[in-house]
Amino acid sequence: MTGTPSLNVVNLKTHFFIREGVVRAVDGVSFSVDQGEVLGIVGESGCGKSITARSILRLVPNPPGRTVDGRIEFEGKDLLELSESEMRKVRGNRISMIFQDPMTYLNPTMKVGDQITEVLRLHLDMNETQARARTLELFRDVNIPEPEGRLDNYPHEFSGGMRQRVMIAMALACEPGLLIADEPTTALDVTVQAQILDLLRRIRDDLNSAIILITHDLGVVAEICDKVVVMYAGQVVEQANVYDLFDEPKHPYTRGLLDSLPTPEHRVDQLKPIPGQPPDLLRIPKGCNFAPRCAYCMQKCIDEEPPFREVAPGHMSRCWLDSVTQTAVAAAE
Amino acid sequence: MNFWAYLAKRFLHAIPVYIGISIVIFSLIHLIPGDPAQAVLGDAATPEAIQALREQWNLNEPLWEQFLIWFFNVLQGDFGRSLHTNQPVSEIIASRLPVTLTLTVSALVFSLLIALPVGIISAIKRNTLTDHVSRVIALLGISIPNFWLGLVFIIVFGVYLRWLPPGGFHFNKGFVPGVMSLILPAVSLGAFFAAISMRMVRSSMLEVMRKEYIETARAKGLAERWVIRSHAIKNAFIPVITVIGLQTGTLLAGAVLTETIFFMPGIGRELITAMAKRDFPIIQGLILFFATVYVGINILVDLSYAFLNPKIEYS
Repeated sequence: MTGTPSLNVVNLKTHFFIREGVVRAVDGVSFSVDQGEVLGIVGESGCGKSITARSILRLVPNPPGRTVDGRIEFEGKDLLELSESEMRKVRGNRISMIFQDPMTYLNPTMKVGDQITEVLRLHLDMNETQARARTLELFRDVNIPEPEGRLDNYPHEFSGGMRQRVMIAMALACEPGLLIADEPTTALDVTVQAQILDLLRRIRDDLNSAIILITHDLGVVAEICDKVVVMYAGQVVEQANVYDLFDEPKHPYTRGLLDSLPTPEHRVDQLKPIPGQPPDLLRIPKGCNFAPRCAYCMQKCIDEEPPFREVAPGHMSRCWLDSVTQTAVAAAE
Repeated sequence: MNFWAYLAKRFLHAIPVYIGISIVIFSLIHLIPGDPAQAVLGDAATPEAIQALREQWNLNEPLWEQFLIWFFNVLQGDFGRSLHTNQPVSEIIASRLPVTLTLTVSALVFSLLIALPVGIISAIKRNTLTDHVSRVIALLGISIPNFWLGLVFIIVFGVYLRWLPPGGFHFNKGFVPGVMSLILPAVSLGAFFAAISMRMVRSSMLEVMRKEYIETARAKGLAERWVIRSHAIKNAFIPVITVIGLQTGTLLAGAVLTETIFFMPGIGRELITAMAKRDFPIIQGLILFFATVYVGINILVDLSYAFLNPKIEYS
């Protein structure tokens, strides 16, 4: 049932107001994700991808952080307009989140069963018996072996992969319309990673939920995502479906990311890392944020911020160039 | 290892501790200048009379022999008798203990009633006026010595305003007079403890509120109040209980001064009196008793730690 938009984020701006100035961590981000679709948000650490996720759930610590502009449309409502108590009914219920490190994101002194029944009792008004039965079912769904004995265990009694399954079971408890997974496989072994991705894929098919997968790992993106948003310094620099993005990256930054990925053809000694560092978000350059590191940088890139525009059908890029392999349209103007 | 085996092991560990404590107590007291026989008989006593009394109390034997005599008596539950009144030491402790126990437990309850809520609120409302005020009060509580606070209380509330009795322990006059006589000493004894516990609770809460699992709890849609109650407090209290538990021993030490200032017939004041009179058996018995309480609290704290933190096993 793809095609029905689940979440539509428009011009989201989340800034941090600190003593040194304003950090524009998320600066005008727009994207949408449909039901049954997996959207990947890719970028280096600090590019604003996690803050974007937390802004959707309105979990950015305030102060210092504040969403200053934009719309987050979800199931017919703008989440930014909701009262705090209405927002709480969305969190963990209609939109739930999986975090990177299931060890630190699970309460170490609470039995895992209780951490899940808590959600069911809160949102679905179940009693203890119903909630435990449902939790057992969830444990089976996420393939936790011998789930009966596991409800009363503490997080430290699970392996990393099993803990992530617990986390996923928790997120699935209320069959959310949108699941946000923030680096869900980063802390796990490669074999376990594949199992977790399988699980996410199954969730998408069974529940027809939309999934936002935040990662810095393009391998994970290729594996599971339908659509990709590439973020750099608080902005979306490129957006396309996964095939177009890998086949024909339009933005020099995306190109750089792909070039720094080891493949059998490009061995580690032939990798081309992107030179330099992302800009200090307190002192964003006037023109294109990526200009100082860009191999195709022109005078125009330094002077003027490029628009986010469609460079091919369904393929958006924030660059004066139509494509990194073509001549600059902008330069000719 | 199960709970009972752990408990047994802890008790076995306490044995060498006890032997050590006994040796230290005994040696220290006998190193202090002053002759108990002289103290009992007074300045006018003849050297012969003093000698005779010393002989009777085994004070002329070598120190190690005196120690062994005392130690084996203690093992049999005989702590000796007061050199002055000839009353058994265990009887003295038993008769004075209720006063001290009432005082320290009241002080503990008072401090925790203040420290826990104020510490939690202070952490949640960090850097607000509420937080600043409670931190300043805590700083005062830590800085003011409890004997001085006790004296000020006596002067202000006991003598000048006459709201509360300036001293004594009046439970023999009924429950209400008893409680009234307990307020000033319990508050002055508990003030330091309340302040230090409050700061501990605050900093531990602040640390826990930054933990990732708190974000998970919020992402579940739990109300902030619930996040704090069911996810933050238990985790924050694990380190707090250890420190508060170990600090409880200092309340006993404080009770010695507080009882003296407020003229309360507890074991603390008994200890001071016995020291002045060089009443060795009482001093030894009381200090050994204090040590027992310390060791007991230590074991309790360890047990509660394992109870609160599922990662710790009894081993």
